[in-house]
Amino acid sequence: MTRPLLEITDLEVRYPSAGYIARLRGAPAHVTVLPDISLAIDTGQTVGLIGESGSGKTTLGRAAMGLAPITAGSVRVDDITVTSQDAPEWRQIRLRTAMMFQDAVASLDPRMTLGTSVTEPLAIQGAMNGRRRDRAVELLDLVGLTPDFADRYPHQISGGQARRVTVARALALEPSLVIADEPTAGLDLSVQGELLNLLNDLQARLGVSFLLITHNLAVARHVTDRIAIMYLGRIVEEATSEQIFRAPAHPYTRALIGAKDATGGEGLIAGDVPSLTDRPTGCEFRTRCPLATDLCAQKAPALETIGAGHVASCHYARPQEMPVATPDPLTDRSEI
Amino acid sequence: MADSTVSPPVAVRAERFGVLRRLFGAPLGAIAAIVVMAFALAAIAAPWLAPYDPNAIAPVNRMQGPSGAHWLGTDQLGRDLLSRIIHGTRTALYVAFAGTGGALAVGMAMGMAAGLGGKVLDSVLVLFNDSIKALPLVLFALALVTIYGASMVTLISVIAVSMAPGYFRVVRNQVMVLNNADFIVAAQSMGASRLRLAVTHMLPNLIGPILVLIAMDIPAVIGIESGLSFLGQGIQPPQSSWGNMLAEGYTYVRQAPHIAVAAGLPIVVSTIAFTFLGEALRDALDPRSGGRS
Amino acid sequence: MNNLVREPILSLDDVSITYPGAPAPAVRGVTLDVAQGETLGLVGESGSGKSSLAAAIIGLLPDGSQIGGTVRFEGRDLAHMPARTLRALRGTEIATIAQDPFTALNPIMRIGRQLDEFQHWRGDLNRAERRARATDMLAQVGLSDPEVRMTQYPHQMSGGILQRIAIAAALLAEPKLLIADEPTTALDATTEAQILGIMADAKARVRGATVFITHDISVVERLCDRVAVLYAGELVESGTVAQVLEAPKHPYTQALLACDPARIGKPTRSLPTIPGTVPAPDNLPQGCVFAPRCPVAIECCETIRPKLESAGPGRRAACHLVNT
Repeated sequence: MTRPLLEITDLEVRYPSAGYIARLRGAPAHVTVLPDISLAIDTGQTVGLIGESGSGKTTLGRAAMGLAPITAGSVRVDDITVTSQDAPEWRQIRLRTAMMFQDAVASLDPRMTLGTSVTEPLAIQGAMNGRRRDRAVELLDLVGLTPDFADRYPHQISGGQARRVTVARALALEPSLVIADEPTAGLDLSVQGELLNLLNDLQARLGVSFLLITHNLAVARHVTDRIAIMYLGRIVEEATSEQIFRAPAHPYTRALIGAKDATGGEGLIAGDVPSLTDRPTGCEFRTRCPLATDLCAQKAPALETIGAGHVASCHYARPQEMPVATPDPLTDRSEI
Repeated sequence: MADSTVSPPVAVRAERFGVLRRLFGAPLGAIAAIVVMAFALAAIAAPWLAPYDPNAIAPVNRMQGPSGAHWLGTDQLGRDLLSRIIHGTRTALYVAFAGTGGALAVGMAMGMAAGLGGKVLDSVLVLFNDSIKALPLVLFALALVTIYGASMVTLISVIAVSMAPGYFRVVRNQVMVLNNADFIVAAQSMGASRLRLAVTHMLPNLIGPILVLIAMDIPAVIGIESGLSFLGQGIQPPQSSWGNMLAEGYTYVRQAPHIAVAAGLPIVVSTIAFTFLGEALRDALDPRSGGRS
Repeated sequence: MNNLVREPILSLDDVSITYPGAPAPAVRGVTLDVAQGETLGLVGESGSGKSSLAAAIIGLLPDGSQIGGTVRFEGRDLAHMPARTLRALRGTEIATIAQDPFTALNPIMRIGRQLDEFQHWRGDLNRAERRARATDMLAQVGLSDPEVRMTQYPHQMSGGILQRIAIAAALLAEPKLLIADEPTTALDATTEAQILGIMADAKARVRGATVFITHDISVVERLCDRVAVLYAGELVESGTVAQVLEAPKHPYTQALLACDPARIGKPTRSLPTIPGTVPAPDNLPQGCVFAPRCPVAIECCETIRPKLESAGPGRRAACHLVNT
């Protein structure tokens, strides 16, 4: 078995919280967003990172590029391993890894032309071959934008076009891994399809790996090879996309699928996501779990293998066959 | 491949000219810019523009009203008022630019340091700047004048020190906002160094608010210079300054009101012009205000 | 489901909306009825004019906007009603639920006081009775500690809880018309499911009709009786949810449904798209607005604009291929 392209091992991310005064009043000094997380991505693979807001999925994506404070564990890309946020090796990693931000327009400098923006990675890494404008036009062409976009500013283009520009910028250094945070957020359905097809197409042609961070399971089902489900900064289930949808093992996964597809599942999940500074004892999902028992309050379940390439952290984890995904969409609509 | 192949006809223009065009597109902005340019021209070309030596005393002609020979009349020593106003413009703008320039340099350096440095440095700098801001300007100025004597250098120093906290605050806050802006994090994710972040991403995004602040501060500085000179604590006679002239005109306002009017008018006009220019600049500098066409 | 019998609560006739300074109307010729007890889903992508239409119904278009045609609420023309009368209607007979619950509530006022003020028109109740009514309503939208919530401020709550409070506030008005503008777009998946469940209960309690504005077909599927599909400012198809989602007639509806990844059974890496872009209001094609992107357009689609005509019992579509 070959080594994965990206390997995140036992990573902990802790942010300093609260100012001096709040801390004197007893506020915690740190918020642990990711207590202990591991994830691997193979070359040419797309891994979906699914979770609700506050699940830490964006933080994990940022930590993988050294944009979050790493307090324990390691990140490895190819043969470069780093264990802290200020390691000089990030420069090497950033040569091979690119990031697409959730808000595409905001991730472009409002005072730079798009041509300057897409070629910025080349300028930063000193990899500009030929004239900057020519490279900009080439990159824009790669994502189906005409050369005149090079002279425009971010506020002059649509949301879908801004997405394409960020794809072009992500591909400038021909990275082996692209971390895409909610790449279709705010896009209309028809444009969403276009963007996902573009990413798939680029993956097929260039062999890029993708870490796709999203809350949209319907999208993830079509474009990912593997899916990791996150809750409160931990992975609660990970498997191939096919397994996740056919036989989800964790009650949270089942709820997410059920919640989105109206195909049954275990019904609705009550309540809200608990606070990161006030994590429940035992299993952290138990406060919302329909299956919770005393055992769940006492003992935190470990992430255990429950099938080939399928892990889940639940005392009662069992792959449960779901009714065939999205059959006739009209059958169940009176249920909720 | 939908929204790419058909590109809407957006008029693409070079951004720098766009700013000027938008500035002159607003009537108030255009008028303000022209008035400011006229003042600047008067300041630069004062020795050639002024019809007389501003300090040439001619007691025979004292306190004459406007005439063909002296367009704005003469003062109590028979000096040509127009010439003194033109030279006074030079003094006013020199003090204004040197003062705000000094304030900008000091404030920006501190603001960048506070925004990019650590929490402790930030706290210290904020405390320092807030302390300066808490000093009453006139008392502070009078204290410095008492210690160092009234002179242009003292005046400019007073202005630079008292105005610096304004720039500090704008730069610091802007840098703090930019620190978390997606496009800054994006540049970091590409491996950009701190220096590169500051120069290619922060500075261009700081220029707008700073230019506006400068344009808004200049009328205030003109007011301070005139005010202190009026009180005899600023520019020292016989050097011509609007404030000096106003003070002299005030003494003789019953016999020759035209002196005070001639000295007061440029103060009012330049202050208003710079204020409007500042507002027009703020609108014109934001590329988003151009909108999609 | 026979709408001929019932008097429509809301009736739009040939409605067009022109924003101040805009060269062309953003919404053109929309005609539709919402009957008593009915839930209508107003579906469209960005630029479809669905939000403009909602703003026109509740009289919240920017000053200087022009509304053509008539918007009748129980026979009264909302579009040309004095602002005062319209204000009196809003919050009593017409209630709205906004997209963003964080901005819909006043951040510096306790929930209890806000819910109290929403009932200012109930002169027959004293303050204690109004508060009791509000507390009761919070319990009905599934909040566990309604008394505690009444004393809290909006920033102390999550988006899901705030959206429930917004729903409770709308229901307190006992409206004859409830307008919900993308009420779940800003929420997480599990919260969205909770809120949709509560909305389903809520609309049963609305005395009159509910209009749901959304881009999400699955929301329409779960909550609505009828659906109206908007494209580029025009109504292209309407009918019962079962009819339209099962057998869409208009090529745009067909394409839109095909694009929804949640409706594609077999996972695929090549998702369907609609080629081209929505035309700008001042640059509309001469014929059918959808013709340039339509896979089945014929010659007359390029030149003649199709009218919205009957396309079977209870449904209408604006397409030459459907009507002929």
